[in-house]
Amino acid sequence: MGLISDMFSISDVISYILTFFALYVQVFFLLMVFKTRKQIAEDTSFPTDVNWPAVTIVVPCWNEEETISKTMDSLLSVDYPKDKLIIKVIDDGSTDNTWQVAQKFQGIANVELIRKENGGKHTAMNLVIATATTEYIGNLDADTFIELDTLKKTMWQFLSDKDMMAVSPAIVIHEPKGFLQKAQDLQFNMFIPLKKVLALMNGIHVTQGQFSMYRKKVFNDLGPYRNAHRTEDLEIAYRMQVNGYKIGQCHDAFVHTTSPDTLKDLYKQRLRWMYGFINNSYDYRQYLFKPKYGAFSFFTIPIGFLYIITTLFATTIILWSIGSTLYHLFIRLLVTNFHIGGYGGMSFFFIDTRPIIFIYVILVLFFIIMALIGKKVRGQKPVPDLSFVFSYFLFSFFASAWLFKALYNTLVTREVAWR
Amino acid sequence: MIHHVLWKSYITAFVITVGIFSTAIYVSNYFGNKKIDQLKSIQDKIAIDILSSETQFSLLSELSCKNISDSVFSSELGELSGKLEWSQKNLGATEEVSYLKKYYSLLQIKDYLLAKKISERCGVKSAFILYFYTTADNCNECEKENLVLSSLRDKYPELRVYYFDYSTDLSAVKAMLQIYKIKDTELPALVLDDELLTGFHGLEDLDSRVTESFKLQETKPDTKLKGKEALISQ
Repeated sequence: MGLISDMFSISDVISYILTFFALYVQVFFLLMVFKTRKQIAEDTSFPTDVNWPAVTIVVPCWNEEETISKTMDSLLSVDYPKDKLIIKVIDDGSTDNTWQVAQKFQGIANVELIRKENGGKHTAMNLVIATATTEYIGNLDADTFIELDTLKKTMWQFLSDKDMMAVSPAIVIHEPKGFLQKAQDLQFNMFIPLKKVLALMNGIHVTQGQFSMYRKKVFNDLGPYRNAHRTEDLEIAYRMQVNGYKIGQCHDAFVHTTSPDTLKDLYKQRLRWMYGFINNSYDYRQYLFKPKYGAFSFFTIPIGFLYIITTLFATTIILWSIGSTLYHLFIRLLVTNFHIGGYGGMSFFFIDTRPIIFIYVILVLFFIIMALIGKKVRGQKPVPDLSFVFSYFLFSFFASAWLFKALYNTLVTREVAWR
Repeated sequence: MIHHVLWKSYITAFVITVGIFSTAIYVSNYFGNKKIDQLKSIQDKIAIDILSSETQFSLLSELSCKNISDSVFSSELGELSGKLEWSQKNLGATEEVSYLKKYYSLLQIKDYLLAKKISERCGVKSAFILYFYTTADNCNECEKENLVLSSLRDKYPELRVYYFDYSTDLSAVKAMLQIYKIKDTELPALVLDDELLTGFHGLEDLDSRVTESFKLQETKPDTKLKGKEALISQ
């Protein structure tokens, strides 16, 4: 045991503690996915003679001239009784041609177009919610498209469970191209089984703007959307969780969302998400680690912070060791007049065999397993491909850029730009 | 999901995680021990080499230099230094590693004395550097000096460099420190042809000194020549 006890420095101790928790979370998720594999594999099915309830879908838009038509087309062609579906397009003071483009849907019986001054997404949705007459309300971002059966499958979650207060569908990336979108595609696919597990644990912390549906009772009881650091979809879920309102997920009701295709846009999007996560969690800090609030307060929010800390710490260590390796290489070249070779050489002896290396290998292995499950859930062949590598490096190391900035912005209390 | 089912999963996941951690530590220890074993076997080989050289040297008085060749010098000696330093850094400063380091220092001193004798008696072309360093983190110069010496060793196979950690707790090493009056504030320190050089010395500087050392040997009187003749006549 002397071998182990002597090798710990402070940074080693932190590494091992963080690695232990990171491994724990992975093991836990894999275990839960395994335990709930039947529920995840099952398709949503419902009788043919369901009396579908009336639903209002809000389509908030701000400068969405390019995607609004496609979003509306997908909504209008959805398999749902037309007299039960009310669509309200609300232009939140767009400065492009969104309003003009939307005009072509003017006159369709169940479509209403509304225009207001810019006030933020939450104000647009609140305007509709305040006057909504249906028992169910949903929202669909104007850069998102649904499949024919998405609405019925989502609504069935409410009809089959009277306690269900909100339902999120499975979000996938619309026509992923290039390494950046393929990496996001894999990540979103991996989220589907994970979110199902969180839903079964009652631990969902976000009801995304991409076609999340609510009972109107949620807004009647808990009040309208709030700005909430520009992540209103996060805050409403937090509010529901601390008030004991059940949030579900429908893993086979797919919603296709357009995704950032440049690093800069991805950075901005993730920065907003992370900033929202940190600040909403801070606002709700009195509800953390309280048994009363279940998995949401004990598991979901803490692992979010664990992810932030672990990623930042790991990136620091990696950058440090890359820097130090380059420095030593430089010094070596300098003092030996650029004489290379002969020294040390590659031998089994010099391979790092510390415990952390083996645990790291296991972590990567678990990541691959989760990614394969993610592909399978989407009906793709569970075979590793290049997107595994993209996704791994993007969300393990590059993510530090927006994680760090989100923390930094929080500390200097600066608001992030919407986009 | 029912609460106790969830708690069961939390605990099961914890047990699995502890299991994976323990396995990783076990596997790591296994490889660590393998490496220590490798170091031990290298040292045993060196010990045999030196004993063999000593025995040969004792026979020299009766025989001649013809039986002595470069091969008497144990080739693993230089390679071992790097492995020991790496082990100390990565496997931790364990008792085993520090014991091996002491043993290594002793072997080096024996090798040095013997190699010097053989070189003088038989005129084998060689130069010797005694190098004193510290493993303290703040000794950047030591690290650089190490690289210079490695580079020189590659260039001149006849150059023998002996590495001594200043903090080695061994009377023989302490005696050397006393003989050459080496202080821990002046590290790295080098001894070349009985001359003490402290602080960092660059490649060009040492290169010229080593070449000088080779020349010195060649101009040394007849004991050398005899040895050379003996070698040539063979």
